[in-house]
Amino acid sequence: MLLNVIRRLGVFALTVFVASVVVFFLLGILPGDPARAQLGLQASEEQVQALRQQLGVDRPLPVRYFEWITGFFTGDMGVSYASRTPVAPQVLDALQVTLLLVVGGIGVAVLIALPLGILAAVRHHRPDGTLFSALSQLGISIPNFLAGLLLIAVFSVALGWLPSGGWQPPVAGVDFLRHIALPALALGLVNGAILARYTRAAVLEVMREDFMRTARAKGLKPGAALVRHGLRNALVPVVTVTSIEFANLIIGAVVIETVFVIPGLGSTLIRAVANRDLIMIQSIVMCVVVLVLLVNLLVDLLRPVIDPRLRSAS
Amino acid sequence: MTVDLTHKLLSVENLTVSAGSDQLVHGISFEIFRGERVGLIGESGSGKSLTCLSIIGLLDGGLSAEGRIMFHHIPQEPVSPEAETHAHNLLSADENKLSGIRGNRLSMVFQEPMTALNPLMKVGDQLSEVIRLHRPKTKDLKAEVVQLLSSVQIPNPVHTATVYPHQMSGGQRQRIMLAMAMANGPDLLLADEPTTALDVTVQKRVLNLMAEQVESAGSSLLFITHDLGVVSEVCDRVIIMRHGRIVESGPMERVFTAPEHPYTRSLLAASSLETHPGTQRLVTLESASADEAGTQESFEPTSAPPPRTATERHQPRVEHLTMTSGGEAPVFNRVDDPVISVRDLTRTYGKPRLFGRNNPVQALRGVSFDVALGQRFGIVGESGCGKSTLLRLLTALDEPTTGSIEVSGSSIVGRPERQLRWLRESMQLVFQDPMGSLDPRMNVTEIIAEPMHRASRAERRFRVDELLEQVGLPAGSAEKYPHEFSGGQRQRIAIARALVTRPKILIADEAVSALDVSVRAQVLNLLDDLVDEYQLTLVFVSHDLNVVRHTCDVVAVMNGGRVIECGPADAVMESPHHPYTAELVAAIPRLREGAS
Repeated sequence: MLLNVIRRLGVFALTVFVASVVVFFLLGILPGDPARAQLGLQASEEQVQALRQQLGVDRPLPVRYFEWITGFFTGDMGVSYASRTPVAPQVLDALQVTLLLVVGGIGVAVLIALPLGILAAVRHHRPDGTLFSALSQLGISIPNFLAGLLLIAVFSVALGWLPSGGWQPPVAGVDFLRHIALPALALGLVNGAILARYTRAAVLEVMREDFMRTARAKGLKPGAALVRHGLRNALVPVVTVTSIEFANLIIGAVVIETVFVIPGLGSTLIRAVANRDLIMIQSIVMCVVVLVLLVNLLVDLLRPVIDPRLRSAS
Repeated sequence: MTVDLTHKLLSVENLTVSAGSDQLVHGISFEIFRGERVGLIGESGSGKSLTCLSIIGLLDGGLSAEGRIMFHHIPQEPVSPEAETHAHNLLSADENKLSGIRGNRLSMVFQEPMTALNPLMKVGDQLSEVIRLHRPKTKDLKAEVVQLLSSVQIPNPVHTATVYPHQMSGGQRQRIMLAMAMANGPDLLLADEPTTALDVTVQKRVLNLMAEQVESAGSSLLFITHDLGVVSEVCDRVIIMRHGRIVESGPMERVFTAPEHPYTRSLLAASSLETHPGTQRLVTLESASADEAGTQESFEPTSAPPPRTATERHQPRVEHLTMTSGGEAPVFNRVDDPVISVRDLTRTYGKPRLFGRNNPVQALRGVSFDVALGQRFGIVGESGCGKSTLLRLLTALDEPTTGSIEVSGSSIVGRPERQLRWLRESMQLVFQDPMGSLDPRMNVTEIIAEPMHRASRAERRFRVDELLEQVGLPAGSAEKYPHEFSGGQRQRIAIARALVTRPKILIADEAVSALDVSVRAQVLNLLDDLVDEYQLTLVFVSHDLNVVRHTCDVVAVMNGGRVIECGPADAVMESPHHPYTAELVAAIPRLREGAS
């Protein structure tokens, strides 16, 4: 068990390293000089050279990589090429916002998916079960920015219950909740629909298992058998899919942040791309990569907790 | 406890099970008395399992049961007169009522121990659940669970209560299922093929345990099986089912010694591998499709074909050798000019890895034997004995760790696939599972003619038709797909596929183990004919000693990765030298004395 944890951690560290190399060098060899982008086409070659020196982009890539990666993990991500201010505080602020949004989205997704998926499975031969399935199918086919716009149209414009955009930090309490509600809902709806289909399939499969019949033969009623023996078994694939969905959700957040004008990673990233602020882009992408890998690591460690068969297997 | 014929426990009255408009069980009626042990016997599709599931009310969604299944209350002592009349109809009882009865007064052991337990729940918790469910006031649950575990002879019960099902063997899991079913001292235990998935020696122990438990709890038993030998070990009375109807029932002794119905007679003959005197061919039922209409006359055993011409095959004398403890493994069945020659074969699985432990498993620990041309060589052993590994090596699907294998004088070890084409042609396999070993998206012609790359269309067609006739399939089969055939017919297709290259060696891996007894006899007869016709050397792997004895000249018994005994099939079976072989022979469930 401990050995397994150590092995997973080793693989995690290795993956982070490889990812950082890919992120840094791939973005580093992209055309477009940050100094030239800052100074405009009118600037002389000397001015550009001077700025390149000042920004440190004249040095060889490996040296810059080493500086960047050590800085990244010690909290010093360097200075933005565009605003000449430290990158770290901006990225961390944006990360905090996006993380809240994504966690909210996952929460919404799970809250929708589990009941909907289980009901659709249990009542799969009845009209309402079929209706739930159809609803989730519909949910999958709606792009999340459209869901966001529809939610704004209904809850902000027509009903006026919730703000149509902007952001408040968690310390703002109710105001925070009012601001996060619609974007989290927009983000979670679509992923919830996808997750609901996986949940339905997992529960349906588990209901056909021999041990469910054993549970009934013991004297458990159908509902109790499902709760006590079925759900935990169905949870194993659902947890795995949720962790994969997490990466999707971060991508989705980029779009949703733009729709709701939220100062998260997505909007920061879009601004950085527009400014050719290479170091900012690298840091943001790296943050997302580490985040996704971390969630996968957590799920990998969590699965043996749910399923004892995975404990002795590795 | 003796059978109490004054007290009915269960009466099934005019039970019909149907799937939509399709009737699967046609209005059967029978009774079970207190303390009685009844065997419900039938082949696949006979409706025996449906009957059992109707009783406990766990039929699949698409199926419906009609009729009455009366479950009578056991009168408390002293017997009160009105208690006798008190009974529930299980078919019309509501879920509340049923869930109070299930696992309590009426419990069940299922066929597949590997999947019947919840994999995420500790064994002890699964046991305590059934106790708590029906006896919520039980004080010391833990002690009761340990007590239950030791009653089914689980070693170290305190520890076992804390392990998960996947950490136990199949036999142990079935004991857990039995303990679970017996936890609340049921009035009736339903057992649906409870030992079919187990090895014979394990089966013997589980059967004894079940009989013991039922006896001491004073329960009745309804034992569903296709295996007449198993029934005769545990039951007092038998009911024989076929095509959803009861064809015969009565005390076991009477039914097995003087069967009244022709089907029962044929079933008994097929089960004990009875042969026609003179021809040595197995007695079979008429092909199952012919009597679909239910005409009873067609149950008569098929008339005997002319005696086998090659009965006096020229065979080298076989020495009866046994593995000596600690000594060098001898070369078994040594012959002068072997077709297959295996020397000091070992296979170890598991390699060191960067992280993690390395637990090498020695699947084969030094096996040496010969197979002579035209010989029928049987390999017998229980699961984990190494017979599957040996087969993989013989067919060059895997490489041995050490040792050599020669086929027709050429080594097949360490050769790349392109140098093994001759082996693929001269050695063919028939597998156990007739459902899984044929590609469902290829029709019979494509399946059989697949190796005939260079043959013209007409040649392929000719050969396929020829083979279909040889394996006894109707001529129209060539364009059909595997799902359109029964299990026995699919095994015939698999045999035809194996023979298309005119191999010299045929390897049959548990080829009849998944078939019903009556079909088994037909397929064995067919194999017998084809081995003669094609002059095959047969390597026949099975867990079933009786089948091997019938089919093979020489039998090798495997245990723990070694061949421990080898010799003429009759000699090994009748006077086994090795204690393990003796145990194996003794564990075979037999029809009671005088029955066959």
